[in-house]
Amino acid sequence: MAVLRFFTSLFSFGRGLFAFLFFLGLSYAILHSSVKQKMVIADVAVSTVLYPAQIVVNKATTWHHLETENKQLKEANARLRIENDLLHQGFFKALRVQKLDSFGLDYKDSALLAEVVAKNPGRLQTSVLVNLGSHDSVERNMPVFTPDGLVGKISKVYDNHALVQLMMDPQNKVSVLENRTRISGILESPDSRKLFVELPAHADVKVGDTLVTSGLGGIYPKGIRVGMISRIFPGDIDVMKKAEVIPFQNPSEIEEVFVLKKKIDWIVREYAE
Amino acid sequence: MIRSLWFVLFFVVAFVAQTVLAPMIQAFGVSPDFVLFFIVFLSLRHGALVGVFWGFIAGFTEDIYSDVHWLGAAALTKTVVGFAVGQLEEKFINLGLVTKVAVLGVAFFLNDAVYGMATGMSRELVTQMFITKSLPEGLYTLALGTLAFHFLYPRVPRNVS
Repeated sequence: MAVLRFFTSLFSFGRGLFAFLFFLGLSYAILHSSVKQKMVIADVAVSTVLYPAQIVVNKATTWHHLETENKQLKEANARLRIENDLLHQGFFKALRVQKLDSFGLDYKDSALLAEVVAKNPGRLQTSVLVNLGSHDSVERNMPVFTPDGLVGKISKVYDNHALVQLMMDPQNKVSVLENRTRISGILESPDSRKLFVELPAHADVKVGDTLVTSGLGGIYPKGIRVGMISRIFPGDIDVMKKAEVIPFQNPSEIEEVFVLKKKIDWIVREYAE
Repeated sequence: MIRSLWFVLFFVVAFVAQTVLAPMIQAFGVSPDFVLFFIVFLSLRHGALVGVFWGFIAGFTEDIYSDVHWLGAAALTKTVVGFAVGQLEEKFINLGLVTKVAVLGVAFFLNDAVYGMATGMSRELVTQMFITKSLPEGLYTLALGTLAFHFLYPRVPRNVS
C-alpha cells in the first residue's frame, strides 16, 4: 500500500510530468525496439492483459455480426417465400390455363381468356372484374364461363376492364334446361346466397339432376353446364315447383374465365329495344 | 479502487464502441474516434496523471491491433495527448462546453500530427492525411463529442482550486 502511495505521489509530481516522461520513454523504447522484440511484446500483451478485453470486443463484434446475419437471413427468407409463392401461383395457373385451353378448343375462335382482377369485397358476391374490355372487343351481355360451368355475363364494359354479373346477382336470370327431362325453367338467386330454379309442377326432376343453359334467353348459348339440383320443394303457386341448385362453378373460386364473343340474339335485341 | 474500475469499464466501452459502433455509424467512409474522446474526457475530468496512464493503455491497445512495425507509436501519441489535455484539468480551470469541444478538436489534430511524426511520415503524406482523414473524422468526432459533453458531463462544475 505504501509502495502504491509512493508511486502515485511520484507520478503525480509536476501535474503528471513524471508519469508523462515515464510513459513517453516506455512508448519510445517500444517503438524503437526490434521487430522481433515488438512481436514478443505484442504476443505477451495479447495473451495476458488484453485477452479479457479482446473477449469482450469479440463477443460484441460477434453479436453485431449475428444481428446483421440474422437480418440478412430474414430478408432472404422473406424473398424466397415470395418467390416460392409466385412459383406456386404460376404452377397452378399453368394447370388451370391448360385445362381452359383444352376446354376452349370448341370455342377457339370465339372465346377470350380473361383473368379475374378484382372481386366484390363484400359478403355478398354479385360481380367480379376481369382484365378485358372494349379494346379486346368485349361487349355487354357476353356470356362468361369456365370449364366447370357458367359464371355469368358481362354487365358493364370499360376500356380495359369489364364487370361480370354473376349468377348470384338477384338481377340476373338465366333460362336453363334440365338435362334428363329436357324441361326448361328460370334460374335466379333472390338472396344472393343460393340459386333456385322454378320448374313446372309436373316436371319429373330429382335431386342430382343437372342443369344446362337452354339457349332460350338470347344471351347464353345452349348447353353450358350450370349446376345440380340439391333440394326440391313446392313453388309459390300450385302449378310450379322450386329446386335449389348448387352451381358447378363456385363463384368465390374463379380466377380465370372465358368470355364468349357472342352477340345477343337479334330477336331478343329487338324485343329489348 | 472503485474509480479505477470505472475507468476500466469506460475504457472497454470506448473500445467496443470504436470496434462495433463506429463502423455502423460510418458516413462516407468517415467514422468518429471514441478512444480519443475517452482520453480527452478522462484527462479533462481527472487530470494529466490519469490522462497519461489511460492514454498509454489505450494507445498501446490500438498498437496491438495494428501493424507490429509501429508498435508503440499510438501509445506515444495518446500519452502526449493525455498529458497535454490533462494540463487543463477542471480541478484548476473551469471549462465551458465550447472550450471542451475546442480542446477535443485540438487534441484530435495533435494526435494525428504526433502519430505522423512518430511513424516517420513525410510532410506531404501528413498534409494529405490531414485533409482526407483527420479533418472529416475530426469534425465527426467533434459533433458527437459536443453531444457527449453536453449529456454525459455532470451539470454541476467541479470546484476550482
